[in-house]
Amino acid sequence: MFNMICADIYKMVKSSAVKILFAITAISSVIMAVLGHFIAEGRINASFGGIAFLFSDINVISILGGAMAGIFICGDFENKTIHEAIASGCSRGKVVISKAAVFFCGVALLLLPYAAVTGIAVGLGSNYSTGKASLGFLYLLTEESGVSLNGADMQKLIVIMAALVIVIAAQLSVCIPLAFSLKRPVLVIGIYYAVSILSAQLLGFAKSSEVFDKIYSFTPFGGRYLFMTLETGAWDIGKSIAVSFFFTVLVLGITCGIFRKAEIK
Amino acid sequence: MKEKEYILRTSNLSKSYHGSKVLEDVSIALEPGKIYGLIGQNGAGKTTLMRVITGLIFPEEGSLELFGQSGSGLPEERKRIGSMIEYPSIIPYITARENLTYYKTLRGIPSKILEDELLALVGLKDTGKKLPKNFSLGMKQRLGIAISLIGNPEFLILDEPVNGLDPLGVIEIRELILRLCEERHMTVLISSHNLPELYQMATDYIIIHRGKIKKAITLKELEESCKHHILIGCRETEKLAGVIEMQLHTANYKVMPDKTLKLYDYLDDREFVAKTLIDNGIVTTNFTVQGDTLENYFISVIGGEQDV
Repeated sequence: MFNMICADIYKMVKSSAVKILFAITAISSVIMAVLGHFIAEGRINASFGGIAFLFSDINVISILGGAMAGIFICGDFENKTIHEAIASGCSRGKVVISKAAVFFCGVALLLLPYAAVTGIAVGLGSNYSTGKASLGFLYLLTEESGVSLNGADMQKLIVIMAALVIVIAAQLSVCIPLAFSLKRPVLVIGIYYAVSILSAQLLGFAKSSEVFDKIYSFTPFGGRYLFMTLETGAWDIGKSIAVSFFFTVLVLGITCGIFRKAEIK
Repeated sequence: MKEKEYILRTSNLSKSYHGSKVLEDVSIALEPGKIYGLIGQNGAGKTTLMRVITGLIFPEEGSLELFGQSGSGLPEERKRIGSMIEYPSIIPYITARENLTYYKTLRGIPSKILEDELLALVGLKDTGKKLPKNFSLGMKQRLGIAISLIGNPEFLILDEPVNGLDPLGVIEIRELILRLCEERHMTVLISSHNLPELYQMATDYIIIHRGKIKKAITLKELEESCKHHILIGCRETEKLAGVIEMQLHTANYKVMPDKTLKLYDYLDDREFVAKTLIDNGIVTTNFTVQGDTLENYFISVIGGEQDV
């Protein structure tokens, strides 16, 4: 399994598609921060908040995350590298876990610019606003707008950003069974984007139903996992990581179940 | 007495898709160091059989034994197999060398010179930074064969390996397979529609038709069946044999179980043979020239349906 992870990381490093996706998130993260700053400073109209959200991590990753799954998993079916791995003795479970591990590395890589831009922007102590509801790194950026940070705050900021990466990666884990069963990148991207829109709607519904809110908080889509700030307690950060971990394990278990007896043509 | 060693042994393997049987009671046994030619029409079940052997699909019935081991998965045994089924497993956006590095890493092989060795072996050492997506079909096949050779497999499964190769490429690949079999004692299962080509490589043949194994035959048996000869039918076979030895001065004949005699000489002088037999009072019931190509033999085995 370790060999397969190493091989796939080697392939990822060589992939120009991944470099393009990384460039997109890097540019988008800068645009998100710049627009947020300009809106807060009043240099541009608050109506640009929608555009800032368009370039935010949650929105961008809901498309590029699916694309990443398409490149790594569906692409491997197309290139027959999964066939080769199985034919050379790798078990299907190991294939699923290895592909998932590298997929999560790819997701972390795509979110790295958002973490870096958010860290730098918050560290500068400037003001940021979108004038609209936001999530993830954009929420962190706008909530910590204008705050001067000390060393402990910076450490906590890094922990929160790491937790956010884990939560978003857990959400994107849904792409793994989709990719293994559908094997078509376009379908994976489309279905996951629909899932992300639906999850946002369900988050709204959770506000009106306490029972649903509790159930939904057992998934990385629910709770307040994408609304973390420096005020968020260690318990909530830990809970977000634990929920994400168990959700990912469950999704990977389902994927292994789907793929265990699947015919590979 | 020592039990015979087999690289692969299948017993009554069956598989169907949408109610249609694509493999039916397939039982084959492959011995080490031999080159097996798998012959069949399109849709006969060649690729399906290869997929079952490599674990890509599962049989509905029957069992499979690799290197003397049976059971589910067979991960350790499959590590000893190299394969190229249908089309090569190539990552199109990295170079040929990088493809080999990827698969080498996947198999956990630390060698630093493996890529160069394999590229030289299949004649791709000068491809440099050219990406496989820009390769010709033949070059892709060569790279696929190089990938299948990573890890020095003991059992090589090749599905149409000479597909798309130019005549020189076909010869090179044939010589490579023959060399691998001889030097590394590698067992090869190879399917091809190019039967004359297969005839120059294989030591054994497995003919599959509509999912069933129709015939498993050695090269010697095949040559025996295909070798041109004069088939002579006669009630007095012993007398006939004596006349052939005494009058025609040849022992190059074979008496068959059905009492017919196959004479492998005098094919260009059949009139002389006929006259000699008549002069010696031999009454023949059959006097025909027989012998075939692998293609015709294959067609006769599957019952005359030509689509190979």
